[in-house]
Amino acid sequence: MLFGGIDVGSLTAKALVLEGDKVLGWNNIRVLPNPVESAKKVMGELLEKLGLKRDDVIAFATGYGREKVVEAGFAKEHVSEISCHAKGAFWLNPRVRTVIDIGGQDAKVIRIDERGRLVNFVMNDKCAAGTGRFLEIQARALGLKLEELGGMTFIAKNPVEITARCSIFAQTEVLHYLQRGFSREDIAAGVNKAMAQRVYYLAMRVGVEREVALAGGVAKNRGVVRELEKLLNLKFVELRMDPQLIGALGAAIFAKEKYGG
Amino acid sequence: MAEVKKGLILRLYEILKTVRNLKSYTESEAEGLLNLLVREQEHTFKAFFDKRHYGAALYWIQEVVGKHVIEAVEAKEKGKKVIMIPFNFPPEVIHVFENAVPLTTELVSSLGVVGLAHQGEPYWDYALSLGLPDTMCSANAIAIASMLLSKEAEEFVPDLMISAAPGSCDANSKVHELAAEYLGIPEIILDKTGESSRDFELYRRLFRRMFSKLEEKLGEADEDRMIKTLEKANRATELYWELHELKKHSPCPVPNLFTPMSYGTRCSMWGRDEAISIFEKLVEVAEKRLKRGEYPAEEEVARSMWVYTGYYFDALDFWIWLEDNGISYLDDLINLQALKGAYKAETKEEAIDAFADIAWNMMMTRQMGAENMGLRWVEDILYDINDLNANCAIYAGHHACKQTQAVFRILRDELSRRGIPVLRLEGDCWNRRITPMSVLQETILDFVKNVVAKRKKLRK
Amino acid sequence: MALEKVLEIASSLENDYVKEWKASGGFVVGHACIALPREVCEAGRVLPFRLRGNSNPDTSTADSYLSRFNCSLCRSTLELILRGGYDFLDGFIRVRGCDHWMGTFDEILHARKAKFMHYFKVPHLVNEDTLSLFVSEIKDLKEFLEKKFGVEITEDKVVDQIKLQDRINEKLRDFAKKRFKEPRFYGSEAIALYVARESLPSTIFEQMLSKVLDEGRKIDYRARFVLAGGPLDEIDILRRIEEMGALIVAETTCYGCGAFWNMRAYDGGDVYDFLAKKYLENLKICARMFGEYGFRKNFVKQMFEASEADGVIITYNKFCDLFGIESAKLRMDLEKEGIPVLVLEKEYASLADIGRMKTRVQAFMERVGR
Repeated sequence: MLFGGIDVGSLTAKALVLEGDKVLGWNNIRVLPNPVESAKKVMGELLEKLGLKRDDVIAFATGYGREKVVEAGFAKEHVSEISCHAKGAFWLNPRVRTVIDIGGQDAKVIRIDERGRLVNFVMNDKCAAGTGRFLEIQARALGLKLEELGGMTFIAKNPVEITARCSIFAQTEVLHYLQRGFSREDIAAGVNKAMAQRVYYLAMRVGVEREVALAGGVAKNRGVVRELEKLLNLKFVELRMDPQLIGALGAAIFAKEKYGG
Repeated sequence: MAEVKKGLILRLYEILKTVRNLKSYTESEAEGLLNLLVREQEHTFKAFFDKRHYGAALYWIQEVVGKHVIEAVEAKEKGKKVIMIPFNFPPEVIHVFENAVPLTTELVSSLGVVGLAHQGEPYWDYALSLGLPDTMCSANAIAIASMLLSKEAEEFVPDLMISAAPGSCDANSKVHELAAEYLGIPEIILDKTGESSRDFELYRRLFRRMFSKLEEKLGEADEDRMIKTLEKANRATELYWELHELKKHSPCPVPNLFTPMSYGTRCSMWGRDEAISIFEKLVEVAEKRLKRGEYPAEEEVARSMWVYTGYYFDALDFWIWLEDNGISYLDDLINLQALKGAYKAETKEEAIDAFADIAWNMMMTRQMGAENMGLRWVEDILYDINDLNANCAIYAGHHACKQTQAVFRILRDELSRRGIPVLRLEGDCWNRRITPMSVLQETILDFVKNVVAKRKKLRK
Repeated sequence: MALEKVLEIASSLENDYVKEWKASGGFVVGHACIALPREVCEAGRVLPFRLRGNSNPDTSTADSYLSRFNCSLCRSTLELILRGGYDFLDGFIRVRGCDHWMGTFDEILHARKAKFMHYFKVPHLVNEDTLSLFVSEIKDLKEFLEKKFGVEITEDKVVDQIKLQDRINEKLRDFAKKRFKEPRFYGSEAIALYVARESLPSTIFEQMLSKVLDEGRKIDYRARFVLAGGPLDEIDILRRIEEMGALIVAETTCYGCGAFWNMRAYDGGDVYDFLAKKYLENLKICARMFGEYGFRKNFVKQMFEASEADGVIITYNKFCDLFGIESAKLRMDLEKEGIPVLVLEKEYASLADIGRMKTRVQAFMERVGR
């Protein structure tokens, strides 16, 4: 039996198929307006690529609209994204005790115990501060592509300080710096630092215990990662997988644990 | 971002001890000193070193708030107890005890925000990490959070707490209660239930009980000392009103920073010689400036009444900037003393009753503990506006101040009816992260240039 | 079916029973806190109707009075008042609750929407002195109602009402117990019942309650939780959470067991002394009562143990300092004793928030291993 996970996020939908302990394949697409359509497409494309039929895979769903995905028959059960990220990270590295997941429009910090069980968690899914959205807004203000933002930390000479918590006020600060002639690198580095600070504040709400793993799309921003490591005074453990897939992996593992016998 | 290893109070203590050792300085000495401080401290401290204050601000830091913090931290080694009080509790009640010193929560928060690198942020973040909501009031939460930190890092903790805000501020009351529970410190609680004589009778009884409890812990209060403390408080009040009179002149000869210094003194050194000395200095400086016609801007464009309080996270770019732009910060509600004359007492019992009356009429208790918060607030603000001939009102809009937020509409409607332009800002007065100073300044300038100044022209 | 009727009453404002009450010469006053001794009111044929937002999420007009930094429950209620939803009231009793409510009452007066408003003061402390003031307040309330409505509130009538409330409280405890070990009712149904109590004449409510007690049935669930924190009357939101299998089996809130569980029964002594003790001591369940944190913590533990719950969910509306700040300590203390806790800050009646809430509750159920 094969097991699958579908994670419909705010910006991307991910799917993954497991055979035993091996990842057979995965897929990542931009979401469609309807979570059920997103689930259908992301898993459908993956199954086609792997030459599989829907019935070959027992899938669990997580993320937005997970209940609807189950109701529509694309997944057997649903599990919260919090548990899925915890499960996925722990499966990849059983030394992980804290997972920081920073997505496009939400962020969460999850604490797990030595058996991978959920101990505590905190989520920010109301405010753009500390989510990928914050970076998008500032990148646009700086005329940079999102992918270009991370590297700026390593070439900046004097990163500026962005004090405003609100993304819109932060954007105002960015524009003021530009007007005053600060370099784009320095401002972008300041943005990465500010982003890390916001994630740090969130993490402090549940505390951080080593080892710590980073998940979600923002984990690909090297600048934010570097600044966050400095703030937390540690190095993140590497998860040998694209950080955006951790939720889908966790969902697949839950499916396997329940129906795998 | 500083890793929080030391509490705000202990960090402040070290800075204030250094500042206390400064004698009269030259301009280059002051510059030199500022270069030694980290960027943020330099930026806010510059406000206090400014020439327009003729040394009064530095004296205030040294002899008033500096002493306030230093005495608290050094109390234990001198065999004294430290009583933590909120700003709406009269510190003179503690000053009557020889072996006790008060430490005022909101004053400590404000000093931390003004004087420390990273301001109050590490402590605020620590509070949030404990699960406290980010909608609580930074005015008290910053200092309280620092004390909560004492379980994990080096920080000072008082011996006892007095909570004087039940009936006027839930946020203030609750966070003090939490601290007392968390740290296992005894707490004495007062309660204002209304404004009738029956309510005051209850308050008076609770106040007396509080005083007895203090005596149990600190020893019996000396009657002579009590009467003398009250007399000194009366003298400081007289000087307060002299300064208030000077504000009536246009342009206002009283520097903007003197207003927060005034209520900073009120909630720390009232009842002591230090309060009298500083006020004598403040009056002296203001009279000098009046005589010389000194005013930092070419013209006094706005005589503003700040209907609750101002912004502390940037002392330089707020208080100084305002008057450099012709905006006099005439007064605010935290500074406005209750409309009473001197208190007379010939016995200990009379003194206790006088203190109870003073406490009943302290800022915030008086307005937000009223049976109709909105109307009492309007009454007091109108009094001040008329008395000082203010031509506009500005509400800092501290987001955590739920009571004033709830009734601001009433104030605004009443002031507007009387032709007083009102500006509503939104920001956290103790936390720069919420609204940057640049945005606040832009809004204030817009208001002053396009509303206040135009009305002035129309009146001419 | 009585439960259906209860749900209907809890989802509306002026129900048929209130209309009948008024038609038969009774009066109705709005208030916002369980500290108000209803016995005194009903003895004078004055029905105390507890103000609520009725799950109204729109606060556009109210926001121009109160600010968006004020409690959304208060804003929601004010919105209904401004729109005329509470025009059936003859006036208001301004029970001194929290700062947000005090501001709301000020704004009601400012918007000229009150035929009258009587200030009923409630101390924040429970001791000999505050009880004495509270006795005087209750007597003042009685005199005010007599004068305002031309009624006579005799001691005998008050005693009758006290006995009625005692019976109701006893039945409510029976009802609550039916939700403990083998739940016979949903939490959303319980909340509806408690809301209905605050919206009906007590004689009617007593009859309805007796019928409801017979309508229990087996309830399926995935996990059992105690609800703690601030007032929650959003039946719909609770229903959606319970649909996931997170069953609320007890509450310590004021729209919950907090309103009656600890209330003392009449001991035959002075009526006003008794009422003062009854209401002020019971009010310790509310975070506005200072120096009583220990009482509240123990109450939560008591409900947790009695209902054999899996965890505690603490909810409060954003900007509520009383419950928001206290929830931090409560969570720490309960977790230390091995009681899992989820703290949910929410906006009143916000269905937009329901997704967020469900994610957290689901994760919480997964955490407690259900």
